[in-house]
Amino acid sequence: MRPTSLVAVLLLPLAVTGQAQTFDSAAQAYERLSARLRKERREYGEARAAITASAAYRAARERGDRAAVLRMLNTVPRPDELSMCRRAIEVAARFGGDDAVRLLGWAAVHAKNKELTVEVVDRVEAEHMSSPALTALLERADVIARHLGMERGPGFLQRVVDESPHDIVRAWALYWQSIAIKRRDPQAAEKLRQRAATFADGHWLADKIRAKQFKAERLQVGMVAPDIEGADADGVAFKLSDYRGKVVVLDFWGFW
Amino acid sequence: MIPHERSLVERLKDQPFALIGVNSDDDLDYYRQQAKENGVTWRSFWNGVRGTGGPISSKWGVTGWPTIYVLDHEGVIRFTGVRGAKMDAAVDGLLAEMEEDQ
Repeated sequence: MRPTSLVAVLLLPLAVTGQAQTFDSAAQAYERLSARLRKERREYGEARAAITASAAYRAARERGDRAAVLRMLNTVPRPDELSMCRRAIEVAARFGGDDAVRLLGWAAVHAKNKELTVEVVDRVEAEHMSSPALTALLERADVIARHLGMERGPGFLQRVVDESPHDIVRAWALYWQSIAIKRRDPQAAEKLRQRAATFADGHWLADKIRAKQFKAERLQVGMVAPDIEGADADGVAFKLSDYRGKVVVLDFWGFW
Repeated sequence: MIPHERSLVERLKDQPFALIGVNSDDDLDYYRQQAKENGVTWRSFWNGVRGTGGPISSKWGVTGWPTIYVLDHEGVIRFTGVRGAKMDAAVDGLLAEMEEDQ
Protein backbone atom coordinates (compact mmCIF):
# COMPACT_ATOMS: atom_id res chain seq x y z
CA MET A 1 0.00 0.00 0.00
CA ARG A 2 1.38 3.44 -0.91
CA PRO A 3 1.69 5.98 1.92
CA THR A 4 -1.05 8.22 0.51
CA SER A 5 -3.64 5.47 0.45
CA LEU A 6 -2.63 4.48 3.98
CA VAL A 7 -3.32 8.02 5.13
CA ALA A 8 -6.66 7.93 3.35
CA VAL A 9 -7.63 4.74 5.16
CA LEU A 10 -6.62 6.18 8.52
CA LEU A 11 -8.54 9.38 7.90
CA LEU A 12 -11.69 7.67 6.74
CA PRO A 13 -13.26 7.10 10.18
CA LEU A 14 -12.50 10.71 11.09
CA ALA A 15 -14.19 11.94 7.97
CA VAL A 16 -17.25 9.85 8.73
CA THR A 17 -17.56 11.06 12.30
CA GLY A 18 -16.78 14.61 11.22
CA GLN A 19 -19.84 14.62 9.01
CA ALA A 20 -22.12 12.98 11.54
CA GLN A 21 -24.65 14.93 13.55
CA THR A 22 -23.95 15.72 17.17
CA PHE A 23 -26.23 14.40 19.88
CA ASP A 24 -27.58 16.02 23.04
CA SER A 25 -27.79 12.79 24.99
CA ALA A 26 -27.03 9.09 24.74
CA ALA A 27 -30.77 8.37 24.65
CA GLN A 28 -31.20 10.68 21.68
CA ALA A 29 -28.23 9.12 19.92
CA TYR A 30 -29.75 5.68 20.46
CA GLU A 31 -33.09 6.72 18.99
CA ARG A 32 -31.58 8.44 15.98
CA LEU A 33 -28.89 5.92 15.15
CA SER A 34 -31.21 2.94 15.46
CA ALA A 35 -33.89 4.68 13.39
CA ARG A 36 -31.30 5.54 10.76
CA LEU A 37 -30.07 1.97 10.54
CA ARG A 38 -33.63 0.61 10.25
CA LYS A 39 -34.32 3.10 7.46
CA GLU A 40 -31.12 2.29 5.60
CA ARG A 41 -31.81 -1.43 5.86
CA ARG A 42 -35.32 -0.95 4.49
CA GLU A 43 -34.01 1.12 1.59
CA TYR A 44 -31.32 -1.45 0.91
CA GLY A 45 -33.94 -4.21 0.79
CA GLU A 46 -36.16 -2.20 -1.54
CA ALA A 47 -33.32 -1.28 -3.88
CA ARG A 48 -32.22 -4.91 -4.14
CA ALA A 49 -35.81 -6.04 -4.70
CA ALA A 50 -36.12 -3.52 -7.54
CA ILE A 51 -33.01 -4.96 -9.16
CA THR A 52 -34.01 -8.59 -8.79
CA ALA A 53 -37.38 -7.75 -10.35
CA SER A 54 -35.77 -6.10 -13.39
CA ALA A 55 -35.72 -7.74 -16.82
CA ALA A 56 -31.95 -7.29 -17.13
CA TYR A 57 -31.37 -9.12 -13.86
CA ARG A 58 -33.70 -11.96 -14.76
CA ALA A 59 -32.03 -12.33 -18.14
CA ALA A 60 -28.60 -12.51 -16.52
CA ARG A 61 -29.89 -15.16 -14.11
CA GLU A 62 -31.36 -17.17 -16.95
CA ARG A 63 -28.17 -17.24 -18.94
CA GLY A 64 -26.27 -18.11 -15.76
CA ASP A 65 -24.10 -14.98 -15.86
CA ARG A 66 -23.00 -14.86 -12.23
CA ALA A 67 -20.62 -11.98 -12.78
CA ALA A 68 -23.40 -9.80 -14.20
CA VAL A 69 -25.77 -10.80 -11.40
CA LEU A 70 -23.23 -9.83 -8.76
CA ARG A 71 -22.32 -6.62 -10.57
CA MET A 72 -25.97 -5.55 -10.59
CA LEU A 73 -26.52 -6.44 -6.94
CA ASN A 74 -23.32 -4.68 -5.92
CA THR A 75 -24.54 -1.37 -7.31
CA VAL A 76 -26.69 -1.08 -4.17
CA PRO A 77 -24.56 0.21 -1.32
CA ARG A 78 -24.96 -1.71 1.92
CA PRO A 79 -25.94 0.22 5.05
CA ASP A 80 -22.74 1.34 6.72
CA GLU A 81 -23.43 -0.39 10.03
CA LEU A 82 -19.81 -0.28 11.10
CA SER A 83 -19.44 3.49 11.12
CA MET A 84 -22.81 3.90 12.83
CA CYS A 85 -21.67 1.50 15.54
CA ARG A 86 -18.34 3.27 15.86
CA ARG A 87 -20.24 6.52 16.32
CA ALA A 88 -22.45 4.90 18.97
CA ILE A 89 -19.39 3.81 20.95
CA GLU A 90 -17.91 7.33 20.84
CA VAL A 91 -21.14 8.92 21.99
CA ALA A 92 -21.48 6.34 24.77
CA ALA A 93 -18.03 7.26 26.05
CA ARG A 94 -18.96 10.94 26.09
CA PHE A 95 -22.18 10.60 28.11
CA GLY A 96 -21.84 7.53 30.34
CA GLY A 97 -24.77 6.18 32.38
CA ASP A 98 -27.38 3.55 31.58
CA ASP A 99 -28.35 5.14 28.26
CA ALA A 100 -24.74 4.80 27.21
CA VAL A 101 -24.87 1.11 28.07
CA ARG A 102 -27.90 0.79 25.81
CA LEU A 103 -25.92 2.42 22.99
CA LEU A 104 -22.97 0.12 23.60
CA GLY A 105 -25.26 -2.89 23.47
CA TRP A 106 -26.79 -1.70 20.22
CA ALA A 107 -23.33 -1.21 18.74
CA ALA A 108 -22.17 -4.66 19.82
CA VAL A 109 -25.19 -6.37 18.29
CA HIS A 110 -25.02 -4.56 14.95
CA ALA A 111 -21.27 -4.22 14.42
CA LYS A 112 -20.82 -7.93 13.64
CA ASN A 113 -17.16 -7.17 13.91
CA LYS A 114 -14.64 -8.53 16.37
CA GLU A 115 -12.64 -5.36 16.98
CA LEU A 116 -15.68 -3.24 17.83
CA THR A 117 -17.29 -5.96 19.91
CA VAL A 118 -14.10 -6.29 21.96
CA GLU A 119 -14.07 -2.52 22.41
CA VAL A 120 -17.65 -2.57 23.73
CA VAL A 121 -16.93 -5.42 26.12
CA ASP A 122 -13.77 -3.67 27.37
CA ARG A 123 -15.85 -0.59 28.20
CA VAL A 124 -18.57 -2.63 29.84
CA GLU A 125 -16.11 -4.58 31.95
CA ALA A 126 -14.30 -1.39 32.99
CA GLU A 127 -17.31 0.77 33.83
CA HIS A 128 -20.74 -0.80 33.54
CA MET A 129 -20.82 -4.23 35.18
CA SER A 130 -23.50 -3.18 37.68
CA SER A 131 -25.80 -1.41 35.19
CA PRO A 132 -29.35 -2.76 34.87
CA ALA A 133 -29.25 -1.63 31.23
CA LEU A 134 -26.93 -4.55 30.52
CA THR A 135 -30.13 -6.59 30.07
CA ALA A 136 -30.46 -5.48 26.45
CA LEU A 137 -26.85 -6.35 25.73
CA LEU A 138 -27.06 -9.74 27.44
CA GLU A 139 -30.29 -10.60 25.60
CA ARG A 140 -28.18 -10.75 22.48
CA ALA A 141 -25.09 -12.19 24.10
CA ASP A 142 -25.21 -15.08 21.61
CA VAL A 143 -24.26 -12.65 18.83
CA ILE A 144 -21.78 -10.84 21.03
CA ALA A 145 -20.04 -13.96 22.33
CA ARG A 146 -19.75 -15.27 18.77
CA HIS A 147 -17.87 -12.17 17.69
CA LEU A 148 -15.77 -12.10 20.83
CA GLY A 149 -14.49 -15.59 20.12
CA MET A 150 -13.46 -18.27 22.58
CA GLU A 151 -10.75 -16.16 24.19
CA ARG A 152 -13.17 -13.50 25.44
CA GLY A 153 -16.77 -14.74 25.06
CA PRO A 154 -17.03 -17.37 27.83
CA GLY A 155 -15.03 -15.20 30.25
CA PHE A 156 -17.33 -12.25 29.72
CA LEU A 157 -20.47 -14.31 30.35
CA GLN A 158 -18.94 -15.76 33.51
CA ARG A 159 -18.01 -12.30 34.80
CA VAL A 160 -21.59 -11.17 34.31
CA VAL A 161 -22.89 -14.20 36.21
CA ASP A 162 -20.44 -13.52 39.05
CA GLU A 163 -20.69 -9.74 39.25
CA SER A 164 -24.01 -8.39 38.05
CA PRO A 165 -26.33 -7.39 40.90
CA HIS A 166 -29.37 -7.79 38.62
CA ASP A 167 -31.11 -11.16 38.42
CA ILE A 168 -32.36 -10.74 34.86
CA VAL A 169 -28.90 -9.78 33.58
CA ARG A 170 -27.39 -12.86 35.25
CA ALA A 171 -30.27 -14.97 33.92
CA TRP A 172 -29.44 -14.06 30.33
CA ALA A 173 -25.75 -14.81 30.84
CA LEU A 174 -26.63 -18.22 32.35
CA TYR A 175 -29.02 -18.91 29.50
CA TRP A 176 -26.39 -18.30 26.81
CA GLN A 177 -23.87 -20.32 28.77
CA SER A 178 -26.30 -23.21 28.74
CA ILE A 179 -26.90 -22.89 24.99
CA ALA A 180 -23.14 -22.82 24.38
CA ILE A 181 -22.52 -26.17 26.12
CA LYS A 182 -25.79 -27.90 25.19
CA ARG A 183 -24.24 -30.35 22.76
CA ARG A 184 -21.08 -31.04 24.71
CA ASP A 185 -22.67 -31.49 28.11
CA PRO A 186 -26.48 -31.66 28.08
CA GLN A 187 -26.74 -32.31 31.82
CA ALA A 188 -24.67 -29.30 32.85
CA ALA A 189 -26.58 -27.24 30.26
CA GLU A 190 -29.89 -28.25 31.81
CA LYS A 191 -28.67 -27.16 35.25
CA LEU A 192 -27.66 -23.76 33.88
CA ARG A 193 -31.03 -23.46 32.15
CA GLN A 194 -32.90 -24.14 35.35
CA ARG A 195 -30.76 -21.61 37.23
CA ALA A 196 -31.43 -19.10 34.45
CA ALA A 197 -35.18 -19.76 34.72
CA THR A 198 -35.08 -19.10 38.47
CA PHE A 199 -33.27 -15.80 38.01
CA ALA A 200 -35.59 -14.84 35.13
CA ASP A 201 -38.78 -15.33 37.14
CA GLY A 202 -41.55 -13.00 35.91
CA HIS A 203 -39.60 -12.05 32.76
CA TRP A 204 -40.25 -13.38 29.27
CA LEU A 205 -36.94 -15.23 29.33
CA ALA A 206 -38.51 -17.58 31.87
CA ASP A 207 -41.33 -18.22 29.35
CA LYS A 208 -38.75 -18.84 26.64
CA ILE A 209 -36.90 -21.37 28.79
CA ARG A 210 -40.13 -23.16 29.68
CA ALA A 211 -41.53 -23.13 26.14
CA LYS A 212 -41.15 -26.85 25.53
CA GLN A 213 -43.09 -27.68 28.68
CA PHE A 214 -45.66 -24.98 27.86
CA LYS A 215 -46.17 -26.51 24.44
CA ALA A 216 -46.67 -29.98 25.88
CA GLU A 217 -48.98 -28.88 28.67
CA ARG A 218 -50.96 -26.03 27.12
CA LEU A 219 -50.80 -26.15 23.33
CA GLN A 220 -52.11 -29.58 22.38
CA VAL A 221 -55.18 -30.20 20.23
CA GLY A 222 -58.24 -30.27 22.48
CA MET A 223 -56.87 -27.74 24.97
CA VAL A 224 -58.23 -24.21 25.35
CA ALA A 225 -55.60 -21.94 23.79
CA PRO A 226 -53.75 -19.82 26.35
CA ASP A 227 -54.60 -16.15 26.02
CA ILE A 228 -52.26 -13.77 24.24
CA GLU A 229 -52.14 -10.14 25.29
CA GLY A 230 -50.30 -7.70 23.08
CA ALA A 231 -50.63 -4.81 20.68
CA ASP A 232 -51.29 -4.57 16.95
CA ALA A 233 -49.33 -2.62 14.31
CA ASP A 234 -50.99 0.62 15.46
CA GLY A 235 -50.04 -0.02 19.08
CA VAL A 236 -53.65 -0.82 20.07
CA ALA A 237 -53.78 -3.41 22.85
CA PHE A 238 -55.92 -6.50 22.33
CA LYS A 239 -56.26 -10.10 23.42
CA LEU A 240 -56.69 -13.39 21.63
CA SER A 241 -59.70 -14.07 23.86
CA ASP A 242 -61.42 -10.97 22.42
CA TYR A 243 -62.23 -13.29 19.50
CA ARG A 244 -64.03 -15.95 21.53
CA GLY A 245 -67.25 -16.80 19.69
CA LYS A 246 -65.46 -16.87 16.35
CA VAL A 247 -63.45 -19.54 14.61
CA VAL A 248 -59.86 -18.29 14.70
CA VAL A 249 -56.80 -19.05 12.63
CA LEU A 250 -53.79 -18.00 14.69
CA ASP A 251 -50.90 -17.49 12.33
CA PHE A 252 -47.29 -16.79 13.35
CA TRP A 253 -45.98 -15.06 10.24
CA GLY A 254 -43.81 -12.28 8.86
CA PHE A 255 -42.67 -10.67 5.62
CA TRP A 256 -38.93 -10.66 6.27
CA MET B 1 -49.03 -17.88 1.73
CA ILE B 2 -50.18 -14.28 2.03
CA PRO B 3 -52.35 -14.45 -1.11
CA HIS B 4 -54.01 -17.59 0.23
CA GLU B 5 -54.75 -16.04 3.58
CA ARG B 6 -55.97 -12.86 1.95
CA SER B 7 -58.51 -14.85 -0.06
CA LEU B 8 -59.59 -16.85 3.01
CA VAL B 9 -60.25 -13.64 4.92
CA GLU B 10 -62.07 -12.18 1.93
CA ARG B 11 -64.22 -15.30 1.40
CA LEU B 12 -65.25 -15.48 5.08
CA LYS B 13 -65.68 -11.79 5.75
CA ASP B 14 -69.35 -12.20 6.70
CA GLN B 15 -68.76 -15.30 8.83
CA PRO B 16 -67.90 -15.58 12.53
CA PHE B 17 -64.26 -16.00 11.61
CA ALA B 18 -61.03 -14.12 12.30
CA LEU B 19 -57.49 -14.57 11.12
CA ILE B 20 -55.23 -13.31 13.89
CA GLY B 21 -51.53 -13.03 13.23
CA VAL B 22 -48.44 -12.83 15.35
CA ASN B 23 -46.26 -10.75 13.10
CA SER B 24 -42.60 -11.50 13.66
CA ASP B 25 -40.94 -8.80 11.55
CA ASP B 26 -38.37 -6.99 13.68
CA ASP B 27 -39.06 -3.62 12.05
CA LEU B 28 -42.55 -2.28 12.71
CA ASP B 29 -42.37 0.30 9.90
CA TYR B 30 -41.38 -2.38 7.41
CA TYR B 31 -44.30 -4.56 8.54
CA ARG B 32 -46.74 -1.65 8.17
CA GLN B 33 -45.44 -0.74 4.76
CA GLN B 34 -45.47 -4.32 3.47
CA ALA B 35 -48.94 -4.94 4.92
CA LYS B 36 -50.24 -1.98 2.96
CA GLU B 37 -48.57 -3.07 -0.28
CA ASN B 38 -49.71 -6.67 0.04
CA GLY B 39 -53.31 -6.00 1.09
CA VAL B 40 -52.89 -7.58 4.53
CA THR B 41 -56.06 -6.54 6.29
CA TRP B 42 -56.03 -8.92 9.22
CA ARG B 43 -54.97 -7.92 12.67
CA SER B 44 -51.74 -9.16 14.18
CA PHE B 45 -49.98 -8.95 17.49
CA TRP B 46 -46.58 -7.50 16.81
CA ASN B 47 -43.91 -9.77 18.27
CA GLY B 48 -41.52 -6.86 18.96
CA VAL B 49 -38.07 -5.70 17.91
CA ARG B 50 -36.53 -9.13 18.44
CA GLY B 51 -38.55 -10.41 15.49
CA THR B 52 -38.81 -14.19 15.46
CA GLY B 53 -37.14 -14.23 18.90
CA GLY B 54 -39.84 -12.00 20.39
CA PRO B 55 -41.87 -12.72 23.53
CA ILE B 56 -45.02 -14.31 22.08
CA SER B 57 -43.31 -16.79 19.75
CA SER B 58 -40.74 -17.54 22.46
CA LYS B 59 -43.44 -18.40 24.98
CA TRP B 60 -45.31 -20.57 22.46
CA GLY B 61 -42.09 -22.30 21.49
CA VAL B 62 -42.48 -21.41 17.81
CA THR B 63 -39.45 -22.53 15.82
CA GLY B 64 -40.82 -22.54 12.27
CA TRP B 65 -42.68 -19.94 10.24
CA PRO B 66 -45.49 -19.92 9.48
CA THR B 67 -46.90 -21.79 12.48
CA ILE B 68 -50.65 -22.23 12.44
CA TYR B 69 -53.19 -23.02 15.16
CA VAL B 70 -56.88 -23.27 14.34
CA LEU B 71 -59.23 -22.60 17.27
CA ASP B 72 -62.95 -23.24 17.44
CA HIS B 73 -65.44 -20.63 18.64
CA GLU B 74 -64.84 -21.69 22.24
CA GLY B 75 -61.13 -21.06 21.97
CA VAL B 76 -60.17 -24.75 21.88
CA ILE B 77 -57.17 -25.70 19.73
CA ARG B 78 -58.58 -28.05 17.08
CA PHE B 79 -55.90 -28.18 14.40
CA THR B 80 -52.23 -27.27 14.15
CA GLY B 81 -49.94 -26.88 11.17
CA VAL B 82 -52.68 -26.85 8.53
CA ARG B 83 -51.85 -24.89 5.39
CA GLY B 84 -53.55 -24.12 2.08
CA ALA B 85 -56.60 -26.25 1.28
CA LYS B 86 -56.31 -28.06 4.62
CA MET B 87 -56.58 -24.77 6.46
CA ASP B 88 -59.71 -23.88 4.50
CA ALA B 89 -61.28 -27.28 5.17
CA ALA B 90 -60.50 -27.03 8.90
CA VAL B 91 -62.08 -23.60 9.15
CA ASP B 92 -65.13 -24.53 7.07
CA GLY B 93 -65.65 -27.63 9.22
CA LEU B 94 -65.52 -25.62 12.43
CA LEU B 95 -67.91 -23.00 11.06
CA ALA B 96 -70.38 -25.78 10.10
CA GLU B 97 -70.00 -27.36 13.53
CA MET B 98 -70.68 -24.00 15.17
CA GLU B 99 -73.88 -23.62 13.14
CA GLU B 100 -75.08 -27.08 14.19
CA ASP B 101 -74.54 -26.21 17.86
CA GLN B 102 -76.86 -23.25 17.64
